Amino acid sequence: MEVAAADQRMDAKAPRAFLIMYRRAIREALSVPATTILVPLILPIFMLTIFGRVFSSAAQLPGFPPGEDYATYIAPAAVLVGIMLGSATAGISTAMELQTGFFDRMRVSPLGTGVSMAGRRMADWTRLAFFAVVLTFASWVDGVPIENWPLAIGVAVALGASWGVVYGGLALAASIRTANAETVQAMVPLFFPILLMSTSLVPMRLLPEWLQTIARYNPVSYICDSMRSATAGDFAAGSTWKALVGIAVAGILAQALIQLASRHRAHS
Amino acid sequence: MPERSAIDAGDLLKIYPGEVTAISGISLSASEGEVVGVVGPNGAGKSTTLKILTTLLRPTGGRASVFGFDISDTRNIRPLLGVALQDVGLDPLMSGNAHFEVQAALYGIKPGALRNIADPLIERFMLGSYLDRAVGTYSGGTQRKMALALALCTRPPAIIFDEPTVGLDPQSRRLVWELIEEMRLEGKVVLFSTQYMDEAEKLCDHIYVVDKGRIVAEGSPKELKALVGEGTLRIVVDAPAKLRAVIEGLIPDGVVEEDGEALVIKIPVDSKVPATILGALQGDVAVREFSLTPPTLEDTFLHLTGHSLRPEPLGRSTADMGLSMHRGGGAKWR
Repeated sequence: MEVAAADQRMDAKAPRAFLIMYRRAIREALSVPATTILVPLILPIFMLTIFGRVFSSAAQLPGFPPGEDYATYIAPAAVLVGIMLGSATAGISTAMELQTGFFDRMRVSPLGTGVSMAGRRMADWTRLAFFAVVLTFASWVDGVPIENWPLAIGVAVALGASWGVVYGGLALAASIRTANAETVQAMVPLFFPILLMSTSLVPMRLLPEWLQTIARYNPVSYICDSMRSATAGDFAAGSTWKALVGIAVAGILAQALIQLASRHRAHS
Repeated sequence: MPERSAIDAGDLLKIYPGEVTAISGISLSASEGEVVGVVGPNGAGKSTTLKILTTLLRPTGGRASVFGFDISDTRNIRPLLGVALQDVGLDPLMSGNAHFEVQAALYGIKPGALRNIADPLIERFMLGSYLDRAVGTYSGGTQRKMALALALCTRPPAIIFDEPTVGLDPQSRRLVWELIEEMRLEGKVVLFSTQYMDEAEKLCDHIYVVDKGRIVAEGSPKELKALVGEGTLRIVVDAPAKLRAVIEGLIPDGVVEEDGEALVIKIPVDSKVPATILGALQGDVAVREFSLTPPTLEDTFLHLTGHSLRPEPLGRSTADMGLSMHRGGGAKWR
């Protein structure tokens, strides 16, 4: 009889659990704002203010959009740097949950860890969307002309924050596999080669041929192109479509890694 | 007696990566209204066994089921289990109240309904004054109590606890014992591991003794103690030489140990030797202490495995330990 009672009690409550876990992740991030909000914003602001000026003459090279200064060209890259730097929070928090045993508390529950991870990733998306807004505004303060604010913010949030959550999936998979926050943190600098192998810092024509091939398959190229167009007031449907496909493919790969890591955890 | 096994496992095998065999051939069962203990030293395989039964770990071989559901059927099994593992599994940044909120969400219970069940537990564990504080500020014992309250507040029909009383003060330990007794009376199945033999002896209907990944014995506490069959006779007299001579006359191949002023010897529990010794000494020698202690589960474990449950203190031999355990009645090692 007890078994039947317990069964009846288990009607789906995932949305409420998701909201609770989302709030919990947001509260957690706000409890350490220096680490989760301020630090990831330092490097992109440095990029905007220093890189834009130090390498300003690069914009004279053939291949750069005529009349556009270098700060304007790399503004989307700066936004993505902030987002990618701040994307490991879900992974680091999950590693901590594994170390304290809280992750296992969720694993033995009827809802499992899926709802919690979804809540964490949504909280990350919220925070990274905030980064996208702040950094878009910072680039305007730095002199980057924003022709269409709603479009610029919309594309930066939709593509940038979504890319951040997908990229953070790698950190999440590593945390589930290793239960080690240090390993997750060590993965953060991976953002640098990913940016370098895209058109985020220089146009396609200026990349070596072999790098052009990689850049064509790198979603970051299309995300930056879309954000750059949106800042200029144009909606680049082609780039945005490719960016969305790239984010989706990377998301599927990251999710597969998370599943593999979860399976490994169940066996060890 | 219970009629069916609510928790059932057969020939469980777990080999961790690196070819480390944690358990091999573990078979156990626990029925509704039954309290079943898994006892053994650290590293014996208790936690691995319980983790498999809680669906946290997949076995390399063997089978297990909970209320008839195969252990791979996590969807059906998890709502039926109340689990408290060795790691308390609490988020140090979250308050006690937030933990109850999360627990309710994870088990699909309305927070109000959960608190109706949890409030009596909170009161009994004296957690009320802590609930607004971050769990990281609690003492180890309070965290353990919190973990137990969370495991019980979903009213599961089956309870699996891994060393539930580690780190608890005697009062809280007794409270956990009371709760386990109550769950037995409510017809729930309780499976728990412990290193404390007195706890297992007091609470369990059936005990599995695990050592080096295998079950070395099983039975009721009484049945297990009968495996040893020897009690400890301890005598303090004014003339130990005469006592020794009497004992050696009665039991020529017995091993007489000295423990301070006392002479100690193992004898069958149903032996007539104590009465004979007393008769032989009467009138000649003043007897200051004369006690016959029946075998304990700790003795059983020592008898079955050749080593004690708890780590041997530096500089003592295993033989010393066996003797010392009788001296201190086990309390010395806690």
